[in-house]
Amino acid sequence: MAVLFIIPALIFVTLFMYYPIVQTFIYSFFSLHRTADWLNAQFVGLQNYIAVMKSEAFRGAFGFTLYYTVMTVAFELAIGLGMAIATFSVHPRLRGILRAVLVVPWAIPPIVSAMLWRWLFHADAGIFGYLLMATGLVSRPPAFLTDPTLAVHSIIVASVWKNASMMGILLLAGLASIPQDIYDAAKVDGARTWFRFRRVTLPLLLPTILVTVLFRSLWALRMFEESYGLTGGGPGTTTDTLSTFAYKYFFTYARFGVGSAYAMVIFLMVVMVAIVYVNRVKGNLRFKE
Amino acid sequence: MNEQSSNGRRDLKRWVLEGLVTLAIVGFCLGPLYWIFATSFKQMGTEYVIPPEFWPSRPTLQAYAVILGIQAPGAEQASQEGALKGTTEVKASPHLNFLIPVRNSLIVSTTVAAGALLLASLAAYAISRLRFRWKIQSLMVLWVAGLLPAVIVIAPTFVLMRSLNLLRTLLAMILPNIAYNIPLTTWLLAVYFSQLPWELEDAAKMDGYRPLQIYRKVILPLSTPGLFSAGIFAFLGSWGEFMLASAVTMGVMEVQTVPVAILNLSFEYRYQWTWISAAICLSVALMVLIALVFQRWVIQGLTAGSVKY
Amino acid sequence: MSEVYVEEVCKQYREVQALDNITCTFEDGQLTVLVGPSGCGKTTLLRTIAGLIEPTSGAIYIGKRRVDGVPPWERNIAMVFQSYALYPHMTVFKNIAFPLEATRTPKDEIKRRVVETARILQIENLLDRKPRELSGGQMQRVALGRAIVRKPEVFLMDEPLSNLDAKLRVVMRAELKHLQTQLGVTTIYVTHDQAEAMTLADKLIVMNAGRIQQIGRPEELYRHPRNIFVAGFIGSPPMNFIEVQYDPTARALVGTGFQYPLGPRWLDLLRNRPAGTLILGIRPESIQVSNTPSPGVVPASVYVMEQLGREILLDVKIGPQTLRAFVPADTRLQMGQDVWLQFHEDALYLFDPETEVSLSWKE
Ligand SMILES: Nc1ncnc2c1ncn2[C@@H]1O[C@H](COP(=O)(O)OP(=O)(O)O)[C@@H](O)[C@H]1O
Ligand SMILES: [Mg+2]
Repeated sequence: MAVLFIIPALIFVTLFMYYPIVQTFIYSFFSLHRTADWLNAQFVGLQNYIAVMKSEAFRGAFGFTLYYTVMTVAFELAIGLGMAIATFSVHPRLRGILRAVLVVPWAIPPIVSAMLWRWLFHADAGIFGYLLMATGLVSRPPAFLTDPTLAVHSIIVASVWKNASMMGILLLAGLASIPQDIYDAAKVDGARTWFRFRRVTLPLLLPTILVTVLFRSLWALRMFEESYGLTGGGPGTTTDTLSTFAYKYFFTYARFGVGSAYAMVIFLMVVMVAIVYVNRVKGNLRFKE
Repeated sequence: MNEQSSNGRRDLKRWVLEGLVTLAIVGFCLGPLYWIFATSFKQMGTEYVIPPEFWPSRPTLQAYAVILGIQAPGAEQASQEGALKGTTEVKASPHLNFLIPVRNSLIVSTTVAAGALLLASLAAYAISRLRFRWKIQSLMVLWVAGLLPAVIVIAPTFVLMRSLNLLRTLLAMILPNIAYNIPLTTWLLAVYFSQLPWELEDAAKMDGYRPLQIYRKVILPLSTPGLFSAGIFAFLGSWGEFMLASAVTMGVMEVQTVPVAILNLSFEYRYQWTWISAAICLSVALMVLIALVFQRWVIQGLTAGSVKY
Repeated sequence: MSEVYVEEVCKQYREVQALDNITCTFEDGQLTVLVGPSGCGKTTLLRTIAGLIEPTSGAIYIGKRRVDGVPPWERNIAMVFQSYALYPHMTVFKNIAFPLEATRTPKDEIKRRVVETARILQIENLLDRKPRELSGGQMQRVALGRAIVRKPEVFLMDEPLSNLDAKLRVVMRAELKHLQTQLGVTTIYVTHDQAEAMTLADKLIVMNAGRIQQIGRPEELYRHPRNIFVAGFIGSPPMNFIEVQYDPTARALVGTGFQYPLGPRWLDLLRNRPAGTLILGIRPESIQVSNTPSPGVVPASVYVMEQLGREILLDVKIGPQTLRAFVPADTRLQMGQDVWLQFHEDALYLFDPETEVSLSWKE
């Protein structure tokens, strides 16, 4: 009886999420050029995977995806933690302002954020280039989006902007869930600000930090819009991620088999992080029996 | 940490420090948006002037007029564009109408929010309020789906939509997006429902109500805030969805949603940053407004959504 | 070890005046109890002394040092919280060692002092446990240990026993008193429970609505309450209050259905007072109940009887007003039965209905 309530949702999720995963898995063993009719296509075994693994482009994208994930998550954590602590410590009136402001970057669609940053990083008229010139650090605006090293880091900067405040919001909730009495006890126990932070706040926040980092990594590993919108993967394929490659193989080259192989690699990476994440949080997924 | 000293000098120092920290964070979060906002009011062409104007000396709504199709991208502008491209070819651009993608996005997001709420609230009701076997397992199946990357489902979904003849329709975005938003909305609603008092339900049961009636007459009316908050997440989530929207609209302007339209705009008019800026401002204004107005719910939802520790 | 002196301290929250011009001394080495109903400002005062809250105005001294404006970690105080506020991620040892580590005590000395503290509190066997593996009473001891380990100038305790069950509370109360006397550290103890306050206190400070009502030793407050509030707050069950008319010509107090002739002591005190309303106060334990009328007694009827074992707590009615009194456990009474109450003159209190101050109160 109760199952009837769940079935509609399950049907939708199965039809548009679980079933397509199986499909993608099957696609990845077929040569599907300009078609996706795997019943009539040629079975190629692991050839798609082998081709992918062998290609220079894949190794680049794999490396960039990992580098991007580590860098963005690290910087987002640092900046997010700073913003959370600041928001937590300031006067309640300012706290209200900050909490509102933190929500804004999160609310902007990723592709729109990428467009926005393309203008800030514009080679001739971008505000960052201008500011760097004005402060005399460089003689001409850097090629933020066309120099390979700079492009990689420009994407990271844009992502950190988009996501650090969300991280801040989650960490702020973690900070607020530590009882005020504990902070007060540490104060009267003679602990100064830094000692309190290192010995009380940080250890008590650690579980939240861990969950937040895992959660963000889940999304960073599949990064698509930032790179697609900001550089289109360029210069060359320096800023192509596994996702942008998969997408390009699907919809630009119409090679569903190879694209699916890429997608499966992303899937496996996400699943690995997801297993750790789910294990951490599944205790909270509990309802009265 | 919450207490302010009455001591005047310490107080002042603290206020200044807190003020500066606040300003820095506000600058970090809003600075990039401000720049786009300022650019959208510049005269065409002046956005390239060095040093850049931090606020246009002669602000104009020209860019918005062009974007909304009130003013045609005239020959004069087109030639300027040509000059910038280094070509002499003068292209007479058709009227732009950014209201079309906005309308499409509104339709898609509203329908998705409504659909996801309906399916998710039914599931959430069963999970939080009814007894049945495989409860935790069904919750996991629904919830874990929310962690999956879109790229793994995109190709088969495209193929499915093609075989259903739904490519280049809004429905091709609406149906999958309902599924994409079910995991989070179900979770948020289940948490919300589980906090409602059980007495009401028990009373309804004694009056002979059946589960479906309890869901309709007791749970839903009591859950307006929860439904609203979950609805906001579904709305914002589908508003920003790009990968699928870009695939299934296949470049057809009439069915494009805002994210796809903005990217296309920037490919087509890559030197008209006042126009692109205006489009960005238009498309984020609503999102930012929703997020700010419903800030508390958004924060609660985000925290619960990452399954707060 | 030092005296704490609070001078004209006010604390204003947006609408609420939480502390209204508080001046008081907490004597060196003594246990002073801050007592009053919930919301009267006890916690606010304690936290102001701790430095967790800065007062809106006024001064606070610990020993000779003025400490308002000094952050809590420089005040050399220790506090025990109602929630215990143990650090959940640290072992009992680490919890107790925390104040010493924060003040950069050498390692071997930390170890020595923590072990010694644990021995005093009999929690040596718990040192490796985490707070969540402790019972309420054990957590309480750890919280105490964390407070005494650093030998602070002052102990501050905010309802430290109220999370324990009733039995354990009585045990801990006695231990706490013993410990405090042994250590001889100035202690400020907050509670809303007047019985706890009476048993623990060297000195009591009764507060209400952000103001000090009266300061004194427990028996002083019991015998000589300054006003209706203190009279009603101290003692259990509380003092009975009856509205009466003072009639100078009859030299008596007139109530509904009775007339109480005043003796020379009261007549002397009321000498210059015109006729008018007064509030008569009498403690339940000072009322004598008899089955037979005699001169000067107040007629009443039995309303409810509560058998307490040692005695019976009686609710009696005088007209519309209810009074409580004790009678021996073997007294035979029935509901509705007529009884006569005798108020001993020395046990009587009279209060001005306007100022609520006791007429026998002398500064
Ligand atoms: N942070 C605060 N903001 C506003 N009002 C407060 C705050 N803290 C306490 N109060 C008010 O001050 C009064 C005294 O509170 P408190 O000292 O906690 O009382 P007690 O400990 O005696 O129960 C109460 O009326 C309370 O509502
Ligand atoms: Mg209190």
